[in-house]
Amino acid sequence: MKKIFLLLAFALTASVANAWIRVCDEGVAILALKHLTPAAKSVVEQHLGTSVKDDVHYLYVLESKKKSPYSKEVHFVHLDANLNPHAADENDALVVLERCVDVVKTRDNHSAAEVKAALRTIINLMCDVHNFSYYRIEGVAHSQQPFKFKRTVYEYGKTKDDIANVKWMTLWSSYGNRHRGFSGDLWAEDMALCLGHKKAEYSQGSLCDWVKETGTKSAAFLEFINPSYVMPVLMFNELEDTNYEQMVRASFRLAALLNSTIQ
Amino acid sequence: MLFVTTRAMAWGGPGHSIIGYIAENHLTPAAKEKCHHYIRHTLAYEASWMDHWRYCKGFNGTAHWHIGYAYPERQYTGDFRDQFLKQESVRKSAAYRINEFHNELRGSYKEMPDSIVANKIRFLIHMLGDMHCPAHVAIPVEDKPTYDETTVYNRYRLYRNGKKSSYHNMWDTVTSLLFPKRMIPEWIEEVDTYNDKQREKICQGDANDWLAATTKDVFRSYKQIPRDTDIAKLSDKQREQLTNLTYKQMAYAGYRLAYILNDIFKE
Repeated sequence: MKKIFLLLAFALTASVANAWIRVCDEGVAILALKHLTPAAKSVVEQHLGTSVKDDVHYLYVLESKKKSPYSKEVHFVHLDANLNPHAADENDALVVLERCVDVVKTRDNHSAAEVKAALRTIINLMCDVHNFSYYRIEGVAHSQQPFKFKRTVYEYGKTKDDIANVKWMTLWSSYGNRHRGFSGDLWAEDMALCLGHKKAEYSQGSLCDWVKETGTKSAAFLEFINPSYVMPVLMFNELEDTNYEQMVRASFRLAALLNSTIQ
Repeated sequence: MLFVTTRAMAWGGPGHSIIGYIAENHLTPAAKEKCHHYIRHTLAYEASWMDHWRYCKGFNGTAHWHIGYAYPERQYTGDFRDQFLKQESVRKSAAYRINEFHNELRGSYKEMPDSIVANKIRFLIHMLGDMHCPAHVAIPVEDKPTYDETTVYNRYRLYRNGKKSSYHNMWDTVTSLLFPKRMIPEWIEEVDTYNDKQREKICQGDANDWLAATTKDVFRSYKQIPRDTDIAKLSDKQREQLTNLTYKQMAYAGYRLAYILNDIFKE
């Protein structure tokens, strides 16, 4: 019975903690690390080594081992009705991010373990805050908890009435499964090729700006994506590009954040 | 004559991406630059595009483009373009479309809108992969013997750990059947192993010739993995044969895709 409970807890945690699928998060982190200044790179490598595979899902691993100092709420950004970050909750993703940025900034006053944990949390949460399904918006009831909606599978033919269930929490991570076998390095390579020219544009602004931007987009989606929505398969396909852009934004902004924090 | 088409995804998982990755490794710098200009992504990324969009409006009629229509072995003439198939069936096939797009783009890609060129490249990436997948070689139903539960060879009954499966399903999941945890770079090490001379020979001919060669391998594989085999319990020899055929077909598809794209975009 205990085993079943732990497995369920693991599954539930897994669905919260992964912004995108693991290799996509790795790709985001790998690309980001390629754009660090020498100073930032030195500090990151000093604390995390040269591979980020174990870092992208740091919080997920902690939660699955019940060693997290946070609840799983830490992945969510809370916005008020005006779509401004609502920092009252100490476990809010933005609040935790800012706390970790502070630790890294004043790393000389913290232990190596604390700095390592902060860096890993930053990497993990920068993916999460760029995922539209990690926003809880005041006044948008269906954003407060996981919900399902539907989408069509075919637009013509005998089976055009077929419907598939989609979870809001995993809609955005599902696109990663279209590219099975991709390693984190392949994702990073493709992102650099496709949208590398957008680095300067995506890196502008502050952490708060990026959260507000993503939150605004999330709110726009949630205006029509709700439990009774049926998404046309055409839109489902078109949203893959939107999701991809978020991954690249997350990557360049992670680099910008670390570069500005570690000087 | 009836051919049965399929909505399943050839190769399964990373198969198409492996082929795209191999092709990209063998593009000339000019072809690589042009491909990236049009499709923005790597060939590996776009490799499954056709499967994701096939059920959207505007893609009606592309179902047959995923299939290579071929003759049964004992009637095989080496050129399926003649008497046996009606012309409308020929035009539906992957081999026909590959040749058509190759010739169209080679002559006049610069005069076409970028979006058209991009989509034709995406179609080529996918169709080369599909046509080289043994399960996507469709055999006329009039061929004998056929099995009771199916009207075409490539859907004959197999088992997987005691549960009913099919030859087609085996190929749709072959990457996870053989090496479930492998990522693309590890596949490439095993598959992309042919030298310049070998690749040149592999790329001789056109899509019709390549389909013909694939068909012979497909018939051989029917004998290697016969009806009612449990594919989760393949003998070492069967597993080796299946692995070798998988590697070969993926490599050939990748090299031929590169050959076509290099030809289209040669300076």
